[in-house]
Amino acid sequence: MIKLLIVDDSSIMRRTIERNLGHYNLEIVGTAATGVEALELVKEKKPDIITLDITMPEMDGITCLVEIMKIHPQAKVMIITALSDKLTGLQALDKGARGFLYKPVNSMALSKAFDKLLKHKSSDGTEKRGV
Amino acid sequence: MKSLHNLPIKAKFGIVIIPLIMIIIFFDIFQIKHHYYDYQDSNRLNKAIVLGVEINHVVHEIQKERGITSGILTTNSSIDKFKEELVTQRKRTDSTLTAYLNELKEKNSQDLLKLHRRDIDKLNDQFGKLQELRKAVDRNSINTDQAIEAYAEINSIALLAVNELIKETRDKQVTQQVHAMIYFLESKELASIERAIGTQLFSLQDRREDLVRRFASLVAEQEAYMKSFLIISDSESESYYNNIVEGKEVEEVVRLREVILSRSNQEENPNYWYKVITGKINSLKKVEDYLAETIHLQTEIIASKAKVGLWGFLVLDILIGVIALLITWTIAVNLLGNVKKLEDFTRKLSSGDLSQKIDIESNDEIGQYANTFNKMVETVNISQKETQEARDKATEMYENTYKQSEVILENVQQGIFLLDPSFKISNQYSKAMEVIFDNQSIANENFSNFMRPLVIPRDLEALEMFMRHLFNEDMDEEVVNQLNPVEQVKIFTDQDGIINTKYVRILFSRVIRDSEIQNILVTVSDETESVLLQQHIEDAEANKKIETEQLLSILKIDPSLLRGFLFNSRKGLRSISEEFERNGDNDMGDLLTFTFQAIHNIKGNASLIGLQLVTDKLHKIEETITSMKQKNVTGNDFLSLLFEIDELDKVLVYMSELLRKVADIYKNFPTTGHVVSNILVIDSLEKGLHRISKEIGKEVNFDFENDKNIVIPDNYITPFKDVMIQLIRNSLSHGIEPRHDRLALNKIEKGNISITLDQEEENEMTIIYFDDGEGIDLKKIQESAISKGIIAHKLNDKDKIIDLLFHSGFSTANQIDEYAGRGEGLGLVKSIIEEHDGQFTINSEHKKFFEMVIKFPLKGDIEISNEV
Repeated sequence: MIKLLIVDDSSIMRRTIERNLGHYNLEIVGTAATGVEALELVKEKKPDIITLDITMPEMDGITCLVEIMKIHPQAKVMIITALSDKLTGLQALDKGARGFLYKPVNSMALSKAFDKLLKHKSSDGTEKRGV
Repeated sequence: MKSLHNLPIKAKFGIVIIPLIMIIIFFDIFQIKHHYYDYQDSNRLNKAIVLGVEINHVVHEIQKERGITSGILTTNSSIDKFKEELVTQRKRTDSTLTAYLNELKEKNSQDLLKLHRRDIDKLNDQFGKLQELRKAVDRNSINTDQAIEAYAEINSIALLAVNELIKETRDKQVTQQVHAMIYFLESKELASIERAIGTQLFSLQDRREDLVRRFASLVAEQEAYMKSFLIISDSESESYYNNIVEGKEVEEVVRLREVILSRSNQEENPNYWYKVITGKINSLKKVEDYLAETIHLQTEIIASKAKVGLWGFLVLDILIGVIALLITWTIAVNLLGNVKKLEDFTRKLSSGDLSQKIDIESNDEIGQYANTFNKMVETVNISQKETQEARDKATEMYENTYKQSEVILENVQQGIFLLDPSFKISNQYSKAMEVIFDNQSIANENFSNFMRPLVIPRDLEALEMFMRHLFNEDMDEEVVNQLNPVEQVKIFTDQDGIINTKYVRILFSRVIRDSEIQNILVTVSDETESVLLQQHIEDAEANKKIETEQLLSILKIDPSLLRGFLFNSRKGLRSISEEFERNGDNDMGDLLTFTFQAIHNIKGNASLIGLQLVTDKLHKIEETITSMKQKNVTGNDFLSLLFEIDELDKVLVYMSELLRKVADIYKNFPTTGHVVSNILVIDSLEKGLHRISKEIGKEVNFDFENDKNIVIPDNYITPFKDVMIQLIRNSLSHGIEPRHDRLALNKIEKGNISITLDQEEENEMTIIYFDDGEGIDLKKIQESAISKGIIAHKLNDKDKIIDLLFHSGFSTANQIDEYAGRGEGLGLVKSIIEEHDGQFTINSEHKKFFEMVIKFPLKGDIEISNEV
């Protein structure tokens, strides 16, 4: 069972993910509206996948991402944001994010992004994309 | 060790062979030496034996001399025969001595002398003593015993010398023979002493017991030596001895020995003893000679054998050596030659010369190598030929492809190039790049440096980050590409000092080879045109929206009303420019006032018929004029005003065009135009009234009365409407009181405005405008007029006071807004009426009502005017 943490201040995200990713055998281990909450949950639940919003009150997404990577570097973080600023997105990749989606997300984009995230086993190299 | 490995083969050969040759030579020398020693040995032994034989001869003669001497001494020279014999014997001894000395002088005896110097010297010394001994014998100064001892001494030394001389041999058989002979000689010497002592014993009258005992031991010793000789000598010597030493003399010696030992010798003659024992000793001498001869023969055989062996060995050795050297030489030369050939050949091969063949006539490994090499060269030649063909083909294909890609890169509209992992732009890029970026130096530039002057720093930072992620294998290409910061980017290129703004789309895609990101393929397209087109479309859409709005507003308005509005408006605007021309720059104030009035009039009409866009524009112009009134205006200040007016005129022209189109539609579907116009004009007046009243916040009932169904002719519709609008505006602004004021005056809450059409005479039309508002406050009008400097002092005539209302610039409203307060309204009314040859009267009661009765003359038939 893949453990998923949703860090977003809107409940719509959660519903969207639940509705569209039912067949992935996902367990949503928590939702957090702020970076501080998110870090608590990461510490406690060690989720495999984290969806992360960039614009959040108190602690912004990039700072939160850096902290998550410190606590739980194996986590695959997918940025889901309404922010159209590319530099911020690239900075997120720099800090260790593995996926990126623009809001509003549709089911197709979401499925595709999750497929990639699950297939591409990050740096342990068990499965690499073919040529 | 390594330097050993690095030696050339020749040297290696040398290192292997030279020690071998050395060993062989060493061994050879050893062998030769051995053979030579054998030869020398046997030669020397030969000599030694010859010399030994000579010495033996001397010894033999001395033995005889001793025997005779012993006889003479014992018998006191009584027997002359002995004396004679002694002289003869001495001569014989001397002659053998001479022979010995001669032999000693022989040249080839020198080696022997060197080796046995001591023995020979000693011997010669002993031989030297012989003369002295003889003298002592002759003088009789010596007794028999002493003489025998002295002779025995000499012989003993001689035998010792012989012994020394001949015992030195390495041949076993010879050694045995030599030993046998030495025993024999010892025995013979003892036999000789036996002879001497026997002679003495037989000669003596008195028995000398000591001599007998000596004799007995001599015999025993002699027999022991002889036994030893017989044991170790070979069988031939033994049988020779047995054959020679026998007979009567030997038996007699045995008998006489018995006589002596039995001490019964008195009857026996010493000469007889001497004779028989000498016979025996001579036999022994024969055996001795035989033995010497045998040994001599044997050593000679050995010597010659050694000689043959030496020479044979030398010859064979040299022969084998030469053959071996020849073979080695041949093999080495062949081998080294072949190796050299192979080396030359492989050197040529390595330098790329494949035309050669190697020719080695041998089936050894090198020959096989050569064959292999030849086959290899052949194969290489074939495959090289094939390779060359393939290469030619590939070159041709490459050139074709290259040309094709060149053509593509020359002509493609997109910028195309490759980025390497250090973000360097490839050598090859499409020609369009230079056009898009107005830049010639592109190849090998760092792409982020290249973009630096073209984009804002934030985009550049993002681009660098983006490219880094593109080259990161762990990052999904699609994910990264979502964040392309230059997907559409505005760039600023500098072309001959002119800054161009362009919109470009830059797309990136990974080029993967062998599972690795080799390059990034970048395509650049200039989207300036489409972006500008997009903007254009957006602008056009905004314009269209305005136009539609205008069109819709036009459609909502009665065409004849609109036509009238447009006609009058344009006329009004024209009048402004005419006034400008006429008045020049004499009185700016008047000019401004005139302009304001004209604009205000148009605004009123526009607002009334609901042309919001035009109303807004007019209001803006009014504001400009008002602000101009505040300061000292110059001719230049009018320019912007005139420009605004011109802009407005354009809008009006445009609307006229639209209207014409609409009119065309109306013409195609004709109605009794003026009736419709009448209805529409009243409708629009009512609408306008309600709109304004609502905005001002005063509730008003509108009443239109037309009991006689009068139709306002087209030529009066506009003035009618213009006048009514001004009056309505006036009523709403000034006439109708606010609600609480009305209630205080016992008026009904809502105000009333009515328009009544009447026709009292055939050629006249009457319009009665009425409101139940405040009416005219004559006192306030006078005060206002005085304060504005319109009149100097109070007027008495009521009509004249009312006339003040129509004075331009007069307004009693405290606030200026769209609907009132500029004091132009009634002035305009008056001028419109008068323009159309109309008349008017005003009836009013302060705080009760206001009424205006307008009369227009009617002439001829009603017609639809097309004039706009």
